[in-house]
This record gives sequence, C-alpha cells and structure tokens, in this order.
Amino acid sequence: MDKIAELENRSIYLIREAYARLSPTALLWSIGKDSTAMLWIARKAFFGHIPFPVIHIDTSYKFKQIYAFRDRYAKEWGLDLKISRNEAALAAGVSPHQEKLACCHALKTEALKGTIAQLGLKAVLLAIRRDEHGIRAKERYFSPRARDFKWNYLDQPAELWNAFHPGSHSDEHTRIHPMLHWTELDIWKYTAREKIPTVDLYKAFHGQRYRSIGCETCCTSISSTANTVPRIIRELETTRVAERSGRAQDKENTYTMQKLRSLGYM
Amino acid sequence: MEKPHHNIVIAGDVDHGKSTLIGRLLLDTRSLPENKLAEIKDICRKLGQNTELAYLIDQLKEERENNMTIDTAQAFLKTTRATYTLIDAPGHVEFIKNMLTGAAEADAAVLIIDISQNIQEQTRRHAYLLRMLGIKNIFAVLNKIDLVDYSHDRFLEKKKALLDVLNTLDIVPINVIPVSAKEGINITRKSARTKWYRGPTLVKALDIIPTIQETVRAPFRFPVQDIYTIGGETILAGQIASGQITAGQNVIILPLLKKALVRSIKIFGKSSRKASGGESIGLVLGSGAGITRGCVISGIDAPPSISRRFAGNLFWFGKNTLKINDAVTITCATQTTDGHVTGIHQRKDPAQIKPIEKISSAMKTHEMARVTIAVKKPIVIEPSGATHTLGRFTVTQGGRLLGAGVFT
Repeated sequence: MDKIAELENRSIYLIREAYARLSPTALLWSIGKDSTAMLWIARKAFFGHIPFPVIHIDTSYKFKQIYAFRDRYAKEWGLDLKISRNEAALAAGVSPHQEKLACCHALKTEALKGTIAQLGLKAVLLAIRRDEHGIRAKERYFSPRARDFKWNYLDQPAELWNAFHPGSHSDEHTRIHPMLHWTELDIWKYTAREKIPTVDLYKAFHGQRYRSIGCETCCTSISSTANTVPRIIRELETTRVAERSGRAQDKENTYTMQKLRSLGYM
Repeated sequence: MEKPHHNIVIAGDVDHGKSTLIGRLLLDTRSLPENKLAEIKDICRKLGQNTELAYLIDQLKEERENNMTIDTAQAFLKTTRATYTLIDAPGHVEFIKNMLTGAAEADAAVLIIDISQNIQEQTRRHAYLLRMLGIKNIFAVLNKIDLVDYSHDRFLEKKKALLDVLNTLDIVPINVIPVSAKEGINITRKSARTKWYRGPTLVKALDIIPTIQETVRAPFRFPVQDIYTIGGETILAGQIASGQITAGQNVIILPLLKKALVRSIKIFGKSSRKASGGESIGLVLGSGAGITRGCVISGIDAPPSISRRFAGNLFWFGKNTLKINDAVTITCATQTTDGHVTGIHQRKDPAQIKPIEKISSAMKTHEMARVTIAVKKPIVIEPSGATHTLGRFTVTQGGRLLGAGVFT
C-alpha cells in the first residue's frame, strides 16, 4: 500500500470513528480542496451516502466560483447541505474591510457556534492539516472544545493507538480532524488519482492561481502557469513558497492564528 | 517511482536540542518555505536574542517565551531519497502524555543526547517509552559535539555509557552519530572537525530505513468499528489490522466464538473480492447475528485469545496514583470495557535501573508495573501477535487517557 492509500484508509477510520462515537455529527465543507477531499473520503466511508449534514460557513464574501461549485456538487452528490451565516453580524455591517481578526471571528467562528447550537452537534469534522500552519501542527485528531468554545492547547488529552478522547459532558463539542496527517502535496496527488473535482480558482489563469481559497477579499493569488492538476503537483514538488502566504489572517501579527484558534477558529 | 515515507519522532531530554535538530534538518535539506528563516530571525531580534532554529517548530507563544516545547508538533522534510514527517516530542517530564501522543505515530526514532552531560533520567524514560511503543528503528545522536571540542575520546566515552543504558532496555541503536545541530555537523554533511567519524550523516542513515509491510503476511484480524444497514444489507465497517481476506472464506467471530462465511467485501466505487492489512473496508457475513462494535473477526486458524482477566506491562502517566481495586476503562482496538485493577507487581521507575518493589498496592505517576486487570466484558487480545493492534491497551479514568500498556 502506498502513502496516499494509507492516508485515505486512516481518514476513513477517523471519520467512521467520529460517527460511531459522537452523535449528532456534521462535516464542515469550505468548498476548498482539503474539505472537498474529506467529503470524497466520507462518501467512501459510508458507501456513497454521508449520514449527517454538510455545513458551509458562508461569510457572504466568498468567490462566486465557490458558490457555483457548492450548489452543483451538493446536488450531484446528494448532500444534506446546511448553510451557516451570522446574519446579525452581517446586518450590523461586519466586513473584512474593517479589522480582519474580528471579521473572521464574527463571520466564521460565531456562525459555526450558532449552527452547532441549532443542530445540537456533538462533533464537527474539519479538514485542517498539520503542514498548513505551525499552530495547526499542534492539533489532535479528536480535539474537545469547552463550553466557551476555547481550545485548551496547553493541556490536550493524550491520543495514541486509536484511543481518542471523545470529549466529556462539560465540553461544548469535539473537533474531528480526519485530514490532519495529510500535506498539501498529498491532497493534490489524491485529487489527481481519484479525479476529484475542484474549484477552478486553483488552476492558473492568465499567469495567476490561488493556492488557498476563502473570502475573495482576503486571498491573494500567486504567479503560476500550473493550469492542470498534474502541473500543480509538479509546481508544489519544487516550490518554497508557503501555502497560506496569500491568506491575510495568517500574517497580521505573529500569533494571530494562535489567538484565532484558541477562540474556536477553524 | 514514489519515494518511501517515514514518520520519525525526535525524542530525548529537555534542552538536549530536539527542536533545534528539527530546525536544522528543515534548513539544511531546503524543506522550508522561503522567508521562513527571515521571519524567525526577525522574531528573535524583537525578543532580543540570537536566531533560534527551534522556533521553526516551537510555534506557541508560551513555548517561545519559556524556551521549551509544550506539545508535540510535526514538520515535513524531503531529501533526494525519501520524504519524512518529523515529530517533535516535548522533553519535560510533565508533558510526557504529549510525547507519547507524538511518538505513537512514528515508525522510527532519533534519540538525542547532549554529549556534554551525563545520561539523564529523562533519556532513559524516553528510550523506555520508544520501546514500549514498539518502535524498532532507533537512531542515537550525541549532540553538541562543539561543546566538547569535537573530541573523539569524549564521543567514544559517551557512546559506551549510552549503549550500556540502552542495553538494559534491550535497545540496539542502528547508528550512534556525533552531531552539532547548532553548527550543522553530520546532519546533512560531514565536517572536517569530526574527521575521525566514519559513519553516515543523520540524513544518510535515515534515508535507508527499511519499509516493512508485515501487516499483509500476518493472520487475518478485523476489529469491528461500526455496523451499517444499507439497502437491507448488514455491513461490518472497520480497518483490517492484519492479514488478507477473500470473499467465500470462513472466519470466526470473537468473543462470540461463532463461525461465518464472508459473503462479500465492500469498498465504495470498486468491486473487490479481496482485501488486506491497512484497508478500511466493509464485510458482509453469511450470518452476523449478535455482532457489535468491538467484536473481532479472525481467520479460523490460531485465533487470538479471549480474556476476562489479563496481565500487561503498564506505563502510568495519570497525576493520581493507580491503586488495587481502582475502577478503570480499558480500550484495545475498537473494544472498550470497564474493569478494576487486581494486582500491581514489579513496580519500577523507567528512569532508574533498579525496581522499586516486587508487590505493590499502588503505582505513581510515570511509573511502570506489571498489572493484572479484571474486566466486565470478555476482551479479545493477542500478546505477542504479528501486529500491535490486539497486543496493547490504554487505560482511562473519568474519561481521561492516563495509561498505556502491552499485554504479557
């Protein structure tokens, strides 16, 4: 079995484990390459039909291609799609044109909080990866979050030999990270192998492409001629540019990501 | 051809240079994103200190302010021969659960020792835990060779002391390498300062770790993870721990001791009559009555044993003491059962050579002992099986994972 097959089989195990032990559960789909790969694997884990809702956290500032992709494949794959928006914050005028940290917190973290409460979720599946960011590298596969949504990164539960901490009664919910052990390159190799559709923004157009997508207001493209998945793989095999170099929330100051995540950011 | 991949844990005592070694490996193999080093230099300047390679992996504010690793993290390395996930394990004794969490995912380990110091208790403890985790490929690096003037004699002396300690734990390192993580000596390139050293650099040594696929040749073991009913069919979901299975083959369901026929193998998007170790699949049996999560489907020949009272070597990292008659929850693969401790024998501190006492009524934090545990539900175990899945267990109390052990 090669590395990509090992990664896939492990992710199937993790997704099934979350479903077996924590109910109700849901999957967060940002429509990016990582959560689309996770969704693909979840379909395999349950033999074609995901038995829980798929949530899109919609800040209303996403690229239009993201919305088109979402609507097309939600229908094609028969997903129980739920759209999560912090309408109150949007009505109050929260936008990325003001402070980015506050915007991410209100339109993403707070929106997720609302949906978790509304659906009474015990677990949410997220496609974060350790190689994306040094703070994400500190995560567990099963990560309990307290009532105030906080991530207690200074005292995380032990996790070994497939014994995962499912969270206790005092916890708000448990974050499940089935793609934690994948790298960006692994995701693209898997996307190529399985022929998984992805949003076109990842492919070069007029010499520019996005390596990481989210809100249109906060992502910048990179110079690239990689206009097919195999070319993206070749580019990544030699690049020394960080994947999230085009993401504003990773940069504002050194510990922005740590602060965001400790408050419950994805 | 696809390069081999290895998960490598960097273990050893606090301040012996684990995080610095990872920083050096990333830097010298050009595995870092551009600007990353400039970013680190900038942070260090703002903090009024010299460039600290450890910051490449120690990313928490609290870690940098206190100059120590709190939780395990991973970094990704590529050489011309292989790709690696490097797992940083915290050295402080209070973070031992984080060290175990990181090291449990490794298939090889680098044990790092500060050559200018005596072999410390924590080095012994980490070495013991690497062995308990079943990590076979262990490399030792004697770091900070620059602090002992690149002395061959000091290297030989410390190497002997280290091999003596590891010998008591039945560990034979593949290589013992003199390095300086700070100066980049014998990491990716050799140095004129250690001309007397004839062995490989650390990266050369790592590049030839063998990849073993023992899970396929071993007998068939399939811990049932969940049961789905899809289109009127009952599908047992799980990951094959070892061996191979073919549709039409007979199996035994444990602990029910019932035989059944494998009617079909389910893999979404694929029609397959056969599956093997490591695959997450679905199994449809001819008769599957009474099967629940935690049952183990096994090949007919030499199945694992069923036990209501077992013995095992346990390492305890709970802050409380574990006492005879204490209630515990045992997990092994997908099996979970409540039970209680019935005996604590040969208690010892893995950091020390001498045992503490033969028969005890309790064991303390970071001690190990041979324990016996009685469980409410029968548990399927395989003490020295070909794979680890049914050979080891974890202990939880009040929902917290506090101990890990190997069945004996």
